[in-house]
Amino acid sequence: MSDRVAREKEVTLLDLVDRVLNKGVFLWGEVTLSVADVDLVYLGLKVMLTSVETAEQMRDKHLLQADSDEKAA
Amino acid sequence: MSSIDLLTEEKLLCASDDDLSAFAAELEQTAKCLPKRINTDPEGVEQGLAKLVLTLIEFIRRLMERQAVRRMDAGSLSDEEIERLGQTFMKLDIRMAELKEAFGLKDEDLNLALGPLGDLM
Amino acid sequence: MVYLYAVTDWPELPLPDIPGLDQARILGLSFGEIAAVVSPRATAIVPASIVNIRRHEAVVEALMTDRSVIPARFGAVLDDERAARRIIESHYTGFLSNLDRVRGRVELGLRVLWDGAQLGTGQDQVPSHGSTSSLPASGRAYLRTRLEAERREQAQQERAAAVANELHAPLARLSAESTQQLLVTPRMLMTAAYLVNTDRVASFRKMVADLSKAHPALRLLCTGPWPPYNFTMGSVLPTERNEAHV
Repeated sequence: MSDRVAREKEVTLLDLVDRVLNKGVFLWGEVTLSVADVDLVYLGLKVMLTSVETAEQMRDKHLLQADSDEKAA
Repeated sequence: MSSIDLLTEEKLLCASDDDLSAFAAELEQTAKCLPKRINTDPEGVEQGLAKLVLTLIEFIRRLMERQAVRRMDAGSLSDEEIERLGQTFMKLDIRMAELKEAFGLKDEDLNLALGPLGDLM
Repeated sequence: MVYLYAVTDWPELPLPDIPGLDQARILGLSFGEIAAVVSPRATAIVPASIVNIRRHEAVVEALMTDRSVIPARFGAVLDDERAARRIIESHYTGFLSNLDRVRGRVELGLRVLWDGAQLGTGQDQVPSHGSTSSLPASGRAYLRTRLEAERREQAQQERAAAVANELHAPLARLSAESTQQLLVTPRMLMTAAYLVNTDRVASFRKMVADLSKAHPALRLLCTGPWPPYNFTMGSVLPTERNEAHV
């Protein structure tokens, strides 16, 4: 894979990640779990919260490598 | 809608630059700055919370500072008020710098530009 | 629990034959003229891995080949199918009109980098907050430096808006709708999204190329076509929650 193509893939992937994590119709309080009758309404929100940190880790861990691993899988 | 060929793997329509690394760098920067997101993984909790709290404080501080500066500019503050406000904001500035340094956060890490609130800045 | 990919029209159309996240089968939950496209999920936690994000996007794009689609933000997990149906029911007219807005259209993204310092006083030249070494002695002097910094930032913002508009205006004319954000970072002059009729994508692309030539000091990056992530209803509140939870 040439440098240029690899860079293109990286940039469009970053663009996609930004788009998919920050935009799109967004539902509030979508998951309700109860523990001892206490409503943990914002588990939905927490899902959003953790997903971004994972994205950051993914990004730091050589995006391109993850990409080519996925293609090979 | 017959646009099957439009939705493909090829997402780069046009770039004016042969070297896309500048874009990659900026996109990574924007991805970092999400103060409303907190890391619920225990190790990262403090850092995530610090980011959120400091972002909010910075936001309010800058807003208030801006208010004061504008009133000074408009001539609606007395000399004494100007001096007192200035001293207060200066101390706040130093304090915030210390806090940011303590958590290893820079201004770029606390994104104060995103969203509709950004317009208030 | 179910993971939500999108809300679409044509609920009676068979769904694309591709798997959802973690190889789960995708299914459509209809109400009236619309459907929520979901897949079953065991856990509410959705790691934002490259694999998951690509899979989410693949499902949304496959849906877009033959119907109008409102893409969901990544990571939306609902209690169950009933909860999904409740949401599309209670926001039915909203979803219907959103689907109308995006029908036959795709989203194209534009990012523009500039060298702010070259085009005027850049952020780098503004004394940063909290640089204790350069703090003035009096409160008045401090506020004065803040005033000057603000004026420079203001001028910068105006310059950015003027330059950005030279790019944005002609592209917005080719679009049904558009959004624009200035200076999300100091070097990213503008980030924009355009909702473009599919038969206008080629002319849009040509316009970007032309604008790029006309502005050699700027770097343009145009991506797409994407599902209309930037042209949805935004956030949707479930209707049955107590006020206290919001």
